[in-house]
Amino acid sequence: MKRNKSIIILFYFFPLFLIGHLAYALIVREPYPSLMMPGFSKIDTDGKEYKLTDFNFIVQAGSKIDTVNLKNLAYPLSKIALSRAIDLAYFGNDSEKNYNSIQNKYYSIIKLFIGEKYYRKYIIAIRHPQLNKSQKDQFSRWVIKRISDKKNIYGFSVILEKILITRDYKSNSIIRKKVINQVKL
Amino acid sequence: MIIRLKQFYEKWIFNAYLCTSSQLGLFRIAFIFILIFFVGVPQFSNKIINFPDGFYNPPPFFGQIFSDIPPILYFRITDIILYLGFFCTLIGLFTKVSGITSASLTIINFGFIFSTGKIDHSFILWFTLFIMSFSGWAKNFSIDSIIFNTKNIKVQIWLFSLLSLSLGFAFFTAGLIKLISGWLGTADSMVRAFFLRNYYVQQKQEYLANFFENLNFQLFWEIGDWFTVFFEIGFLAVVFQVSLFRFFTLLAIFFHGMVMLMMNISFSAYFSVYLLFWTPLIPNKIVIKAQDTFHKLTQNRTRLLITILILFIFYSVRISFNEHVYTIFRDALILCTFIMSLYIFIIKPKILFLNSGNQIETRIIKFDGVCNLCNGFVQFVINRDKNAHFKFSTLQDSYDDKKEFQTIIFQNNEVIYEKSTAFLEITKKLNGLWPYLYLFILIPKPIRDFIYSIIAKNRYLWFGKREICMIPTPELKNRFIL
Repeated sequence: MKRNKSIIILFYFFPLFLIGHLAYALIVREPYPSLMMPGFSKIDTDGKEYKLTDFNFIVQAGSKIDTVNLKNLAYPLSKIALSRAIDLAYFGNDSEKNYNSIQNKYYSIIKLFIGEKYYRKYIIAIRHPQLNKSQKDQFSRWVIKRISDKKNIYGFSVILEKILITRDYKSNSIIRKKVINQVKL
Repeated sequence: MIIRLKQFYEKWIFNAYLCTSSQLGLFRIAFIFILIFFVGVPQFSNKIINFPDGFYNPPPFFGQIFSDIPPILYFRITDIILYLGFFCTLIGLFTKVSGITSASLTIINFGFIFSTGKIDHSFILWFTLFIMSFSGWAKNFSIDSIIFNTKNIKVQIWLFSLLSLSLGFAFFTAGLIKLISGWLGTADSMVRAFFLRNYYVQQKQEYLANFFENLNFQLFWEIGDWFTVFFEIGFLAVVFQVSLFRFFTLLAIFFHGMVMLMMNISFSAYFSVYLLFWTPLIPNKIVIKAQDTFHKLTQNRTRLLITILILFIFYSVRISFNEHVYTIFRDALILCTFIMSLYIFIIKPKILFLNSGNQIETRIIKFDGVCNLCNGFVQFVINRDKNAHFKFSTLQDSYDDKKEFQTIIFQNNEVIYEKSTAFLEITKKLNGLWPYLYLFILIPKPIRDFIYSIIAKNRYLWFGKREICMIPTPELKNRFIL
């Protein structure tokens, strides 16, 4: 009987815990472990065209220029994981630029309530943590080693491009490709 | 009102998924079997070795306890523990400890992988393994039951309810984010946008992807958006309706099948979790057959050791398969269960709303014998109840007070239903596609009963009345309780 009471109490607290955890994940960042599932928020489209981002590695060895796309670089690792890692490492300052129109509205309301200072300190710093120089260097070395292993080349330079591709919503043909950011590794 | 809600909630906690220890034992074997053969026992040393050194940005909570990813030796040791732990849980050797250890280590180690930005999809699976380790699932069909005294272990039914709430919440969160981020706009389709992102950026172009790439039928994509959002949010709404919750688990299997065929995303991690909620429906005859087989395989020490050895060889061979073979197994499972879900949805929807796999139910419908509408409904039920599960009786035979005649009464074993609930409970047991009418149970009872009462009050006026009660034909006589 006593045990049943404890179970009932657990069942009254559990939904409260779930709601609290959901609120924290929606406003700040999803914790781990988490009982949430990936939501996949809206991709920005206007019904005529849609925009997708991708990465491209331009590899220059002497006079020879080659490219490696993210899929080739990541395999057999997750391409999604690697693209997020790249975003954090090299384009962390631009993370908010990746927000879609609804996310922008949503976070501007939060910013309005708590102020710019606390927004940066308690939300952005946790949502998009900045890497220190040593971490960035380690990651760059890892990327370069991977390219070297995949392409079997040595002594080369790498430029990483973040590309925004706009496609036609109906025909799927590429309307334009724009390099929105680039960094030399 | 609050007291009634409290009673309902507490009843749901302890009674929603009543099942026997044998059914639970069979579930344990099926759960671990699916996990080993279709999801894969996690091996972290292979994955973590490819990760960039020092690239550690854990999400809040667990990961922030650590300052970096542990050395490779840690992952090699935990891989060996997991390798043995999952096998022990399968055969039921030190089941509780094996299950808890395997689940905990998997959750901890995935924390390191997710610290680099990958999305956590599979937590519910390991959470289920962790939680169910406390359920008493080793009482039957386990080595523990042979070498230890497991008779005093009690089956913890409430853990089913806890997990159903967790799964419902997990789906709800996915749907909520879609809803608030504007998935339901009519100018564009997010399912299509994500499909195209997968097709062009992720280059996932297998199975039916090429067909969908050329599909410009906007309504199809819009339905995809609405279905996804409502299905995910609805998962939480039906948590307290056990049969509807099972319906949603099958809907999830259909959803995963479509996602695989369309977007080439093979997500099978939750299949064994869905199975949990179908455990109370495992028929007695399967349990008895399984008990016979288990007894034969374990009746003496030599046989038992040979069985364990064969299973271990089989397990080790399976573990040694590479990722491509796993993908084939995984896709085959998703495809087979997708076809099975279509079969149940189209041919046998009655299965969706079963209460139990074992109970022989007493089903009695009490109806107004002079009402044309009620008589028509009884004939309708008889025509769709080929196995003659329903018995009938007139309200005139059961009650003297005419006030009682304003509702049909449905008695299912000890439980008595009235008005719209009675009607919906009857329809869910009929042949054909009629069980889908049960989905109207989602409409709040006062609204359903209000509509029912309007029809009941006007039934003589709209459909007519007989002078005398219905007299069953000789062939139907044994189905009427007089």
